[in-house]
Amino acid sequence: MNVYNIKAAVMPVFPSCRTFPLFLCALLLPLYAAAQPAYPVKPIRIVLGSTPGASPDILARMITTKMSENWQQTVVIDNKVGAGGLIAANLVAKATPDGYTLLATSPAIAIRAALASNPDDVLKDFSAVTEIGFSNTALLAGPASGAKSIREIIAFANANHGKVFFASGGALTADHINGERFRIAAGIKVQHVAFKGQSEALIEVVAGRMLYTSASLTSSMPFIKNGTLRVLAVAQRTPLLPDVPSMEESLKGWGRNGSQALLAPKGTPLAIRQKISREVARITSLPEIKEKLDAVSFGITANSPEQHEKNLRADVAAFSRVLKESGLKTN
Amino acid sequence: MDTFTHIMNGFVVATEPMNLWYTFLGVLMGTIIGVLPGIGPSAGIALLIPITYGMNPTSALIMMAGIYYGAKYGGSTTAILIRTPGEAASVMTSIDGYEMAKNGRAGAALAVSAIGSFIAGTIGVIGLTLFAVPLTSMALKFGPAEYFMLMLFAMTAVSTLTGDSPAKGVIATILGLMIATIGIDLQSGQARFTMGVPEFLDGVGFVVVVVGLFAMAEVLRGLEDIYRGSSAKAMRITGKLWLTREEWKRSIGPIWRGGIIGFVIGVLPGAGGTIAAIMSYTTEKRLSKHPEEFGKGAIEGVAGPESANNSDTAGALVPLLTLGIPGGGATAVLLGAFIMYGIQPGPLLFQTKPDLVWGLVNSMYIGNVMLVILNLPLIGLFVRLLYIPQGILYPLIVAISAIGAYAINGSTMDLWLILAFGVVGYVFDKTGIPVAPLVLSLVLGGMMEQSFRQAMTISSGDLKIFYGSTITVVLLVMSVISVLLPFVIPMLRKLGSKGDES
Repeated sequence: MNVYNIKAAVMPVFPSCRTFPLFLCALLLPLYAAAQPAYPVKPIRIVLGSTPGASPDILARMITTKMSENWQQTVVIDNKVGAGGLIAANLVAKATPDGYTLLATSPAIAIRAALASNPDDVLKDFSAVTEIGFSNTALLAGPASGAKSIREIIAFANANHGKVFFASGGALTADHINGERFRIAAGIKVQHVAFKGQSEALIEVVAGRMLYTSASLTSSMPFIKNGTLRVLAVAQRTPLLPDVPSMEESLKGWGRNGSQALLAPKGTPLAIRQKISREVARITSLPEIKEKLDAVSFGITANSPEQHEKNLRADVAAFSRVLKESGLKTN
Repeated sequence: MDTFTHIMNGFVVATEPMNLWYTFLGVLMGTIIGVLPGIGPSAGIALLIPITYGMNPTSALIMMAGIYYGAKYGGSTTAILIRTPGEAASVMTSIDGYEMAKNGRAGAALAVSAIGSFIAGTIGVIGLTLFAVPLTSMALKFGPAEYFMLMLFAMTAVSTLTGDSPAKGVIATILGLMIATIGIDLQSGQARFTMGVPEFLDGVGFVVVVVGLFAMAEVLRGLEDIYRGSSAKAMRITGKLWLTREEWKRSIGPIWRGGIIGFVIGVLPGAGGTIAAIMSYTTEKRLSKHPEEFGKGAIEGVAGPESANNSDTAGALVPLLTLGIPGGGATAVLLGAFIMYGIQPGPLLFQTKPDLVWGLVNSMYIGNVMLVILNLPLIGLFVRLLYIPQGILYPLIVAISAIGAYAINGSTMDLWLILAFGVVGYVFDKTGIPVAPLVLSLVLGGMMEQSFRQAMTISSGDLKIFYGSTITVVLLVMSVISVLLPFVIPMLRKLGSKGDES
């Protein structure tokens, strides 16, 4: 829309003197808008691959409530559940790249890209917006091994060569890959067994049928507190468990955790993506939000679109390496 | 403070006027959600989470739990009146409940559902009160091998559901098992039989199949009747909407047994209300003196499963509250709600937040009373559905089914699926193939396969794991008995009658 159209539209009412200042404003408004993209001027839709009430959903709602207050625009969460987020991703990939349709993702998208023969098959449809953060994960051992540290569990696994297992909440989930990552880094022989969801995997470790598992700190906290599970290491040191070392400290070269993030359809203007990323950074640093996220040990990593893009590529490369080394990826 | 004092304090919390109001609100919403197929308690609770954000956690959780067990009351209504399970666990009710309604006993079927739900629900809550903490260790003993044997035992039920022709039963069972393999394989993460359709990656939804097989097939049958002009006029119900003395006598046993079966199955994470209902149905069919009535409107086939799926909800709260482990979809959302309030369910919860836990548990006694009061007088209202002319009723069933199926995932694919399974159900009906084995093997098949493979990985391929523990041996023996019983009983009877003659 250019200035002349606006002028033409306003002209008929111009004769009234009282509207003259208004006319001036109308004339100037588009100029201002050209410098600063007028975003958002209509409701924003954030598509999410998880069910209402699940933790990524609660996180997204926490952020969108604040976003909506600040921008005076409705921000809708659209739960398109299914196929590990693929249905939500496909929907956003085809959406108009105007910043009004966004995808809230989990590390699953990086895993999917890592599994593809060419990661760009998965990533080419999206432009990075910002990371939000990651749920702190823990490496947990049950009572059967008696292991209290990384060193002890490695010793136990070596002593019971080939007779020990690790549990995950499903094959090719982030938990599974973390379990494999630990197996490779520690150089032990353990066999993977997949269960339906983190909670079932945790019971198997508590019951002593599985040696270890990787799970979010939130779901494993009650077991840690009552001593039925030992936490050997966490992805990132947390004040909730001050004595527990990070994975990086325990095993060199552990690397990053995949993160929850916002993606936009490919071609969404950088200025809009920057505006959203700044807003997410502002919201995640609000004391009330930060307090809630700290309580569940959610590490905040809000950043710029450029940095997000870089990290996403790095995650894909890291996942790809683990998948290749554990024989889960053959192409 | 000892546990008894905590329990008593819980009653004080539960009877606070505010909490009574939220209990009522919860069970009322639960009933409504239960009546509508597709919209289950998971979705209902999830929708409430953002609304209850600032509320007192105890009241909010009491209300959400109310939705959870209230939905099981409502689920039977649609199952009985229009052969559509309003809630997945009501699937067995739609077999005999609907037949009862056709025989003019809709009132009795609805009454026995409500009364059975009340008695069994209360049994469940008593079980929860008494055994919550001790039962925790039992749930832990169920590993992959034990689950496999449990599923195997449940699968032996197929033999009692096959009807007249074993071959036809096998066709339905195998089709169910085949459908159960569609989707991402849990162990390898590979997609199986998805034909490149992303919607199939999560498998074919149970509710979708059931709504298609039961409700849509019923509509197709009705259309045929209307076309041929042979449709029966909807019957006016005469007499009271209550049970006869005979029906009472036949129902009381199934209600008690259903209550106990439901609670025990509920405690095991992963089994769930549908399996509880199926187990109860097959148990009643075996114990019955007139098994031939099952599938043709036996009141036991309504009383048992409806009781089982209610006490299952109380059972499912055992692992949720004591271990922080959700056994199914609705309890997983409840867990999410707990965590949102900064409350971590687990072994410590009973010590750190006794008022909340016992307030919640005790509100369930009150909620069950409210539900039976709420549901019995409303029966008259629901029964009126039957007087609706078929020209209006059938489109209504299609609409309700479509809304229900679409509401689960918001996927148009599911709408095509209910239509496809409607045709399957219609063809099955015409060829005399029973539908129930398909439903059962669909529920159990996927879990059975995964448990088997988990167990085999753990044992490095050694089958010994399946008879390595007391639990597996007991379940194995029960499965064998269950398979042999239909053959042995007629033989024993023959022997007995021969003995009489001589």
